[in-house]
Amino acid sequence: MDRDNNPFMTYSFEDGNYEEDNDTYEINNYDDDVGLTTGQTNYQQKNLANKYAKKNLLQRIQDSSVYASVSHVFNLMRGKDDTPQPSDSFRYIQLNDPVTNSLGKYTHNRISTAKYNVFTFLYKFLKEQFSKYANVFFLVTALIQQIPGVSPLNPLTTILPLSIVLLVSAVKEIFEDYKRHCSDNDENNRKIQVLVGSSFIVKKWRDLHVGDIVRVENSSFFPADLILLSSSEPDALCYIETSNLDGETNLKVRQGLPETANLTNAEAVSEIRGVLKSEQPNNSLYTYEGVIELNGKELPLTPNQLLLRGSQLRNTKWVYAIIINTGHETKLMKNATEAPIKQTNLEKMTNVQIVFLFVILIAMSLFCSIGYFLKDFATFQEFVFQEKLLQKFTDIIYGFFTFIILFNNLIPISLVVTMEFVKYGQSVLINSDIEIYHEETDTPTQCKTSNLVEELGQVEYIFSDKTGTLTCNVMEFKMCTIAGKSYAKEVTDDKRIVKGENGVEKGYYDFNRLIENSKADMSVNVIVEFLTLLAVCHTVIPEQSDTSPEGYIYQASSPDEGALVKGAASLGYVFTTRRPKSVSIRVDNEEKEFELLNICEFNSTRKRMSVVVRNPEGQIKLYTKGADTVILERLSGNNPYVDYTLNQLEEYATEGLRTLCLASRDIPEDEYIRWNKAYEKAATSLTNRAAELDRVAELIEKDLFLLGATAIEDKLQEGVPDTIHTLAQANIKLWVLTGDKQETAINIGYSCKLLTEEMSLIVCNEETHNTTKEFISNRLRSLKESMPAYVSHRNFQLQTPMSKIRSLIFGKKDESVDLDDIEPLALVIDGKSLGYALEPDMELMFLELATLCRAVICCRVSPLQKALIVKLVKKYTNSILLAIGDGANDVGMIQAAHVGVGISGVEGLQAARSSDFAIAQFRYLRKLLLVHGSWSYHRLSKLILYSFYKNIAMFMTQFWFTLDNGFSGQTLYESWTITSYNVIFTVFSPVVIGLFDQILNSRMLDQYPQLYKIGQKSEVFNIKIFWGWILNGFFHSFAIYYMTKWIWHESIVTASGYSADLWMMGIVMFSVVLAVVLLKAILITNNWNKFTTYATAGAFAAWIIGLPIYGWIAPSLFGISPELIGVSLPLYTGLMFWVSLLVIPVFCLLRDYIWKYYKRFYKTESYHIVQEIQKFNIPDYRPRMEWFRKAVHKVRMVQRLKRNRGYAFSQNEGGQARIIRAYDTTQIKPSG
Amino acid sequence: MADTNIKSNKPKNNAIRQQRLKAWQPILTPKNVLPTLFFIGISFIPVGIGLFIAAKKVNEFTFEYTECNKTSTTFTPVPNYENVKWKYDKTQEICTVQFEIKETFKKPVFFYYRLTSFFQNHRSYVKSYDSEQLLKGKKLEKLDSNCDPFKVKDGKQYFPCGLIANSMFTDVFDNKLVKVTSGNNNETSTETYPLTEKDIAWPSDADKYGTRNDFLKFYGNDLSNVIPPPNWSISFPEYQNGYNATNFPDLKNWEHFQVWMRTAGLPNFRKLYSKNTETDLKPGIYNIDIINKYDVNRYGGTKSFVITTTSIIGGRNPFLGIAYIFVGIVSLIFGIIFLIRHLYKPRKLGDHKYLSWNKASTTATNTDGDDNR
Repeated sequence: MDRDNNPFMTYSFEDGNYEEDNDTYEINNYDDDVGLTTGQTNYQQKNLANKYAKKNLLQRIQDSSVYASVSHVFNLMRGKDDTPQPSDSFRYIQLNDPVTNSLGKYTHNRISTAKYNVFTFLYKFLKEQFSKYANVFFLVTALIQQIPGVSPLNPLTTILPLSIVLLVSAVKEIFEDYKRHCSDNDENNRKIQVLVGSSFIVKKWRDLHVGDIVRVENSSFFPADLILLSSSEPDALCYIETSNLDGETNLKVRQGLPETANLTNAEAVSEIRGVLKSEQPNNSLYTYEGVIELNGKELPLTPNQLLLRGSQLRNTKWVYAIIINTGHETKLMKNATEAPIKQTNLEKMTNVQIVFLFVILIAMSLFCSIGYFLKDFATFQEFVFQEKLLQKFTDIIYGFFTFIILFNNLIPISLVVTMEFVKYGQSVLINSDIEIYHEETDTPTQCKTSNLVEELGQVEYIFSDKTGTLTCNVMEFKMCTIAGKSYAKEVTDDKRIVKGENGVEKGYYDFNRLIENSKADMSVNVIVEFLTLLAVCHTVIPEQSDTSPEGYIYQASSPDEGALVKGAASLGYVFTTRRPKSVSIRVDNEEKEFELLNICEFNSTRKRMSVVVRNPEGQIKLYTKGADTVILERLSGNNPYVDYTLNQLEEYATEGLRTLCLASRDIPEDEYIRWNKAYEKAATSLTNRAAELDRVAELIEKDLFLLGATAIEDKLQEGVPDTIHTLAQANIKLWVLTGDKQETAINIGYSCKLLTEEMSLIVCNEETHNTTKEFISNRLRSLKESMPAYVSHRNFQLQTPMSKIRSLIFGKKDESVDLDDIEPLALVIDGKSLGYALEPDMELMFLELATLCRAVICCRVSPLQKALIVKLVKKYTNSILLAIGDGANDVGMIQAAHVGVGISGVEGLQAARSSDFAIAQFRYLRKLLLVHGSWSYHRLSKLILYSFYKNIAMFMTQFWFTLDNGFSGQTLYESWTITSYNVIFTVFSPVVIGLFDQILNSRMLDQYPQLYKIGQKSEVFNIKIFWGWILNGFFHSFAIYYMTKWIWHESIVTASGYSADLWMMGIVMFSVVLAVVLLKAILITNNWNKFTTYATAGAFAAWIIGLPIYGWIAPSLFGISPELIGVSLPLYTGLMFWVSLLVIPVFCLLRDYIWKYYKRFYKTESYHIVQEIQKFNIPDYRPRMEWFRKAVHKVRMVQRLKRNRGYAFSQNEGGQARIIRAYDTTQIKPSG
Repeated sequence: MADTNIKSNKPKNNAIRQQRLKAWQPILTPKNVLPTLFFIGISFIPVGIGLFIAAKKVNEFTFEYTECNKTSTTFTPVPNYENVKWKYDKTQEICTVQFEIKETFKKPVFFYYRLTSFFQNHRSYVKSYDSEQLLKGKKLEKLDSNCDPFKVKDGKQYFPCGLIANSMFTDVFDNKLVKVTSGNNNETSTETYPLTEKDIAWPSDADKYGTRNDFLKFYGNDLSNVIPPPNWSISFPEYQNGYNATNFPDLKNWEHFQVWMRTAGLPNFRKLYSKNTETDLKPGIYNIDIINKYDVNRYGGTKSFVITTTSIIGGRNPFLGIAYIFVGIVSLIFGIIFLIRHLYKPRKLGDHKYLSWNKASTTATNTDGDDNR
């Protein structure tokens, strides 16, 4: 079988084996381990079953509807629509028999990507919430608190905040899931024409069933997996775009069976009867097994008839097709793994630290409960209580619990909810950033999962799709060189024609000049030939249209060809008609018909396409277009334009344009007759036909005359080169994973500045496992020899759960290499080699090599490989990975990466739906990462550190106090005061820091991308810093407690001589703690706005003013907090309170203040300097330097241009001639 | 997009949404740090000295009389105390302490008792009372269980219930200091320094307690079911036989009780017993009689009395002053160190050459021979 004929067969990475011989139906089940059965017997059984079924129709329908509803509920509860499958390798679909098909228990066509529904919400939500250690801990604490006599605090003081925390999260989750439901609904409610009786009526997607025959119109998406019956095109051909599935943007051809091709109207199609035997739903996109039984004839179905959900009908007016898989059973949905719950690095680290704090907490509680025993005040107890306490074992347990409750706030309960809230707030702020809003498509940036915002500030690797992400997927005929003159569509000022010293013109003419020249110039013949070639030698199919300026729409399976034909049309050579044996073009309103004699197809070894035509004048001509290398080899001796054309090709290449050389030859009649005989023989040869044809083509493709070259721009999205350059400065490594061919990919690499001239390319293009291994290991060895020692000594370690925990506890090991130290490298690897490189014995070497490169380009990769690469990097490094893409083929990688970004704004984007962030343009990544990511990272790090700090500073005072109250577990502070600490007085300052603090403003972060490294290297939140903060909290609490204690002086603290009590001491201490903690918040604020004032000064004022009011109202009105009666006013009127409030905070924070200043001036970091640059508005001389660098760059570029000219051709291989010959655009197409 | 009919997703362009809030960027530079440090130093040291002096000015006399019951019946000098003698009358359990006041104690003068190692801040202790019972009386069955083990006995409720009330300090200090004429140790003059036991509790405390009448109204004729805490029956002669309509505690006016009920924050504490706001305490030798009932030996504590004046920050406590001076000096020292460092080796603010990547690239670009300065 001709491999090239079947694009589906090139990949097969499923474990199920695809039998090439379609007549045998022995096949493994792909998904489940249901036994192997032979289709034939099952088929018969099924037929019997069907007959039986019809008899009991009524009853069965009732049953099935009951079953359906029950199973639906069941499925809903599992959150998945996965109806249990009968143990059968095939499903039997009756044609035009909806009643029988409805018995098939097939799933409905509704899809649901939402996380929850009404029934599952509670369970799933609670499960997720209580997977957080902190929440479990608080729940346990809250439960312990309910035991009477254990809690030193009010029993509600934990459960109330916890409930609020859970409620807020629940509201947030519901809100986010609601949006998912809405987008599902949008998709489920799309319209489609379905055959009912003998006419098509419009239904919603959700109402489709297996066996329905649908009519899909041009450029709409397929609502389910379909088998193509017939189309508007000849021989039931149709074009589809599968970029959503596999990312390949060239159109693919599908063809219905000849037996169904004539069903081109509703009546005809409604009359067919028979059975379609289809494989059970599975997730293999590239294989399909089926048989259609029509009029007693069994006809095999192959992937060539398969139209998958997620792909789009293109260049075809309509198709009729029959539904085989619906809803979650479609191959697309089968491929969609459930969106993983992603937890950020920061959260994970926080979780681990929480465990540590918990250990400390237990230790403290144990210490205190033992202290309770050892302390020799047992006699005091006897005296006061007149009984011996703590004789029962339960008392020990109770005592322990008491301390747990007393100290439980060392782990900040408000942290979880504050973080959720702040992250949500940040996501709202990101969503509403006007600079990353796309005006044209009216698409703002969307944070789908607000959980991951801070991860944006730590990204080290970006895995990017190419088409639709870096490029617009629009090809434009930009420039050409004909007969030694250069023409460009748009000529910028610096490229205009200038007369050189010796009268030679240098520069570009514009296309208008080309049109003029094509009529009167010295080189008119060449120009005419050139344009004729463009209009004649291709596989494009024209279609009349009123909307297009040329009057025709060109349907091309290769976007490059489309661009060329369109370009020719705009230059006056309009391709109008294709007939099986000829093409017509219109030049100057004159129709010219070229007889198509022979076609020598394009393929990747030939790298060229030729046609042999007889022009209207009767001459036989060979027109060839192809890569410069292959064309140049075949030129005749007398070719005046070669040197000039080569120069131009290099120029085009530096701009990243895709080039083709055009050449022609006049063929004498007798030579043609001789050659044609050979051609005919080859075309009819039974063995090795393709190779034979290639060989024959060689015979005629010689002595060519070089006409010139074309340059096509694969239009990059706006700002892509700039963004890539900036991201590189930010030490983010970009790996481009594309389905394109190597040449195309390298080309794009250059044009988007991912590859630069000073980079050495490592191109890996090996065919076998061994050669790949050899290649990689050789390269790696030679590289290591030339590198600094630390680079070669690093070794990647598998990230086992243990090592992950270790890295979370002790901080991560830095395996990253400072790429500035080493020679700039770029790795280009082909899909095939990549497949080997990803095998276990090679993956480490590959990773090591790849991480030494500034850029990595993987070509011709499958969606699975995309995900595998991401997983590989994830497995061995603990870097944060970001994947960005736009199609369903990117979903795997988006889900595998820590952060998944989807491109949104264009229709039908699977990727955006399963992504964590959706942006409209690649360039928005720059602000998203450098500014929002950095902000989020800094803010959240600070928020977490500060939250821990403030709770430790506060609640460790309880511990010191315990040493002074006989380890009895008495609290210093009144219950509701404690609660208010976390809920009211110190809740706002972390929130304000979390929402509004800016380490630097967005302009600075953008201008100095190098600052992004702070996040990458976890310099703000790591183990050292965390425990530094914790220690600081201990120190502050220690200072606060003991200073207050010494000031306390045996309860005599006012001039009035009255004895103060415990609660007064508590109030003083609380006020001091509050002052310290809020001042600390001010000290760590980088950006003080009005909210900072409210949250700090405001909170403190609220406490001072609120306390007497509360102490007056609460006990009398609600009977709570009686401890506070008459406590505040004596303190306020005495001097001691205020002087303590001054000296203790100043003492505590003097250390922090001095240290902060010391760091800024004597351990200066880059961000300190940039902060100063921002504050004092210091001008930067960088623009000049940049300019200088650019100049140097250009010089180097010119020196070093010794590489492949960018040649590109994204044509489908094989079957071109067949398609060309099938079309006759003069015939009227059936209307369907 | 002028077309307002189409609902646009365009975000609002305001300061909050675009994160362009007006803000101040606090940066610690020598210009603001050095003055701050010097300011703290210069202002805290005098304040500290002032507070220290104020504390030092407080006159205080403290005497621990825990062991008084072991002394003889005649005045004997107390070891480790200068000019202090004591005697103990075993039959009446009266301890008499003779001590010398060397300087005039300016009014107001306060008289405290001081207990050590008494954990009034013990968790089971602090909560062991029933506020409602104290305010207006409470039915037994509703009594707060925190009062255990002094809540109920034989179906009779303790009034006041709980540990705090039961453990009330029961030593009685004479309401006057009797001046001893100089020279003759055993003779006492009629010159006394009166001490009042009024206004010794926080004014607001009275609101928390009921009067005798309130309680009688509540408990009515059923006084037989209300019994005094066990310690009270021993320590207070009047309660030996329980309560009746005349001896029922009048909590609202019983300030010693109120003072006791305000549980101290630390295990060593002073409680105001009496005071004299009218006259200064002149130098001289004084006697005071103490009815010694409260046993602190049992739990290893001590008891003392303290005669003291107050300053604006309470008692004779130099710590606050020292803290201020300390903070001031530390601040000053760092101010000076930083100043010297700054003068000696200043760093230009926002200088690009300090940027880490410029450090690396200046060497790199210099090899290319550029001059971008």
